Amino acid sequence: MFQSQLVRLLFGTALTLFITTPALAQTPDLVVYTYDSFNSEWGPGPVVFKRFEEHCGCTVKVIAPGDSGTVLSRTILEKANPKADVLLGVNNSEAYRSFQHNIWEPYRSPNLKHVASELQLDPQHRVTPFDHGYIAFVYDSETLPNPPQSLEALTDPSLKSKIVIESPRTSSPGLSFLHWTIAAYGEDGYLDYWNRLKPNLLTITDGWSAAYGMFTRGEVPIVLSYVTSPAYHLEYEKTERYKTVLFKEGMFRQIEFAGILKGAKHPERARQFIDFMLTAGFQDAIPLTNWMFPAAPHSPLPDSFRIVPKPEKHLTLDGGRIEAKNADWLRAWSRTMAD
Amino acid sequence: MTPERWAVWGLGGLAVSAFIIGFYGPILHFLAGHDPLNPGTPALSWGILREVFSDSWILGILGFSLFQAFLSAVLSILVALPGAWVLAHYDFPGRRWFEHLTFLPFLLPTILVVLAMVLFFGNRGWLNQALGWLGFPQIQFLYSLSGILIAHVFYNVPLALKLISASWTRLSGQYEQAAQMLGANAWRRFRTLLLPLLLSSITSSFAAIFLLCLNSFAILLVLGGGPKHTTLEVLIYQLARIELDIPRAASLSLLQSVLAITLLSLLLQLRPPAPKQRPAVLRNLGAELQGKRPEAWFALAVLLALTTFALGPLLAVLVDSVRVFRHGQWHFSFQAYLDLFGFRGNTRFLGSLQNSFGIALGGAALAMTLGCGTLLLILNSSKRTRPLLEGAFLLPVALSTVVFGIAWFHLYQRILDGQVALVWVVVAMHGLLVCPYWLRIMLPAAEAVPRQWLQVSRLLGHTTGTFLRRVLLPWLRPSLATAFFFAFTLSLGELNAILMIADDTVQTLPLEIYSALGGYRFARASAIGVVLLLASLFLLVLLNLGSQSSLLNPSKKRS
Repeated sequence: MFQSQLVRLLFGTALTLFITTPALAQTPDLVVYTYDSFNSEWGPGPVVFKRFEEHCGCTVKVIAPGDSGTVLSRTILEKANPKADVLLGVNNSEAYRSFQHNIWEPYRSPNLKHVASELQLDPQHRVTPFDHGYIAFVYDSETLPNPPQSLEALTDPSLKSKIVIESPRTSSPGLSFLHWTIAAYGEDGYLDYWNRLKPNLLTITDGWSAAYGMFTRGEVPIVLSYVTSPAYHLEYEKTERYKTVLFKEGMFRQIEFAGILKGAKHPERARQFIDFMLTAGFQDAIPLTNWMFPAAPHSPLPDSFRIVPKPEKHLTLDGGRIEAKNADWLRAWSRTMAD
Repeated sequence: MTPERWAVWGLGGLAVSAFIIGFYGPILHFLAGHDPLNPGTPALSWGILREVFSDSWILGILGFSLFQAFLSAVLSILVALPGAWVLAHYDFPGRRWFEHLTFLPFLLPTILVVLAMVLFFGNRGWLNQALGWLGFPQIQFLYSLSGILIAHVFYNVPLALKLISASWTRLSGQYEQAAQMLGANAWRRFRTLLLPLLLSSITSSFAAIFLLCLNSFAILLVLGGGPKHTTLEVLIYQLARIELDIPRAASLSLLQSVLAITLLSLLLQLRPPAPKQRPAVLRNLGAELQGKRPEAWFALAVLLALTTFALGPLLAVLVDSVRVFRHGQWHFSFQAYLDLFGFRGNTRFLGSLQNSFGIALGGAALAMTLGCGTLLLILNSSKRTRPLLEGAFLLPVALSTVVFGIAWFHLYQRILDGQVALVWVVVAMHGLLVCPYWLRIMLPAAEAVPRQWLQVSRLLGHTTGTFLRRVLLPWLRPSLATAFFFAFTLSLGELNAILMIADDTVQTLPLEIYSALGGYRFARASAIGVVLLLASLFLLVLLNLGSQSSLLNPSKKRS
């Protein structure tokens, strides 16, 4: 009896696999790599790629395996034989890795004229910015009426074990935060800052999801996230309970870029896509789906963004310095935090 | 050659070739070659290993990785032992459901285990709220070594419980009665009699849990309270995925796995005497409770404790999936489920569900096929070659999945790309990755088959086929079902290895969960977790229906 069931089970398995094995359908006209949440059902992906398909009358294949760090690593490993034409979703804290490995085919889009010059970090136009935002500490105004107003205030003893952050070793907001502390305290002072911050960190998570989940489930009142996070809660949960503060030292910007890969099989379409990326059809979808500010704003921001404060003071870290020093910083950070 | 020889050489040869082609080949080829990103530098150099050995910080991490895996495995077994005792001695209403439900923690993807632990054991979790409500002070379990251990025990007790109870149930009660008559007290009976008899299943679960915990990642980082409890796996991930320092990642991974396998091989050399076996005789728990036997009350307490421990955090996930936060308050809602099943618009979820189950069933089927070969080889090996074989078949899971994935990435790029549908490549990877666990689960059961059965069967004039069908399969059925199910589960949750080659045709549930979480959809992630649990529970019930062994449950007919 069991054998026949087993046979049926195996047969069923094989069948399932055959069904899901795609009949090698039409070859796409453009292949895009991006990170998983960009192409989730509620992310910008389904909207903007569909609009581009309508715009170009072509088909786009989107592959989104893992977070931005993973997708970038995969693209670098594939560089001798690239599968994708466009990589979308590399931020300024990670971009140095892509430059080190020389994966881009430079392209200067005429539509860059819609983009503020401060976002155009790459003079060689290997990558083109499509949105930007700021990493920020989001707090629960119900359990923490007087939130810290600066990086320094985060080290206040009254906040013992009340903060959760992401690890710079495994997460992109985590890495940006490490860079933020280096920009604010300098290479001589940041480790000392981390030593003072340490008692207030309940834990350091592998990625944004675990940290933010702990925050919204009430485990901690402060979490490292994005300055736009409160807008999500206002838009979908109709609550202003979660807020963020602009820190006195200045905020640290995350700019997200896309670019054409060297050896792309469809370079013409790829350039068309980069141009499209800076038009209203793409940019207008960004605020409510990717929770970032559009790089080339064509319409006013949605109403829920009224809760998002506008930073006036920025801190930045030079790309060349990140490229040269990042591995050392991470190593020093790991050892400091392990003590 | 006799048919048995043919089976050993055929299936064994198949398994060995699969391990060489799919694991040793790609890894060695990769390590012997050049750094893919710096042609000209060899991938593996003594310099790196020397550097590692002279760096006390890395050695400290290596030590802690092994230490926490050791502790987690020991604790999981200690927690499972009383449960295994109950299952080996008592029959009670809902016994089968108890076995099924205590399986569930093993099914939950780690990111959800982390959130479940926070919801249940966290500073503001259910447990602490209940304590506060009752007027007790709060306790902080998480964000330290104890947090790591609690989560690892929660996760791995099902495995130990299943393995140990299976072999305990088969043990003849005669031994214990004899020892009792000779005046040995309970502790002495346990230490000198039972423990050696259960040794095979204990060491097997130890090895499997040790290796699972060695590669644990999210649990360690989040519940361990940050970098003070970092493991080598985190460093390997950072090197391989973020810094793309693949030679260093591969060297560290190789070093750790060789060390781990050496330690385990020593342990696996402990061979128990082959105990006399007989069908289980289960006592009726209800009747003994009425008879006010203290043992029975202890059994009841164990059952309740294990059920609470296994189901509490899962219940927290369930509750989390049926609520939404609106206007500053939590509301009850099935929204997440309605979205999942596409009652409100399009959904990719059903496709991912189908992909996941297809891949996991395929992976488990492959693991079983290869597993049969490895099992036959090990059972037919000599005393000297056996530890070597066991180690060789365990190594794939001791190696970091990130490194395994990168080695396969190269194999895929050079040879397989465009030749084979990606889904088959993923099935092959999963099959190889979960085969060692399948083997660990089957080995104690297979070893317990009394050798004389084959001879008796021959004397009775049975063919090998009849022997397999009438004797061996009925005996092994429950273990086969368990092993298949664990292999299925592990394949269902596997994510790391395939990220480097995945495309849109292999969108699976773990990927769905991560992208839901990444987009603020926490209730949806929990709901996917619940669907995953229910669907797997359904499969488990089916498998168990198929494996109802007449040998193991004669008590049902008797009572």
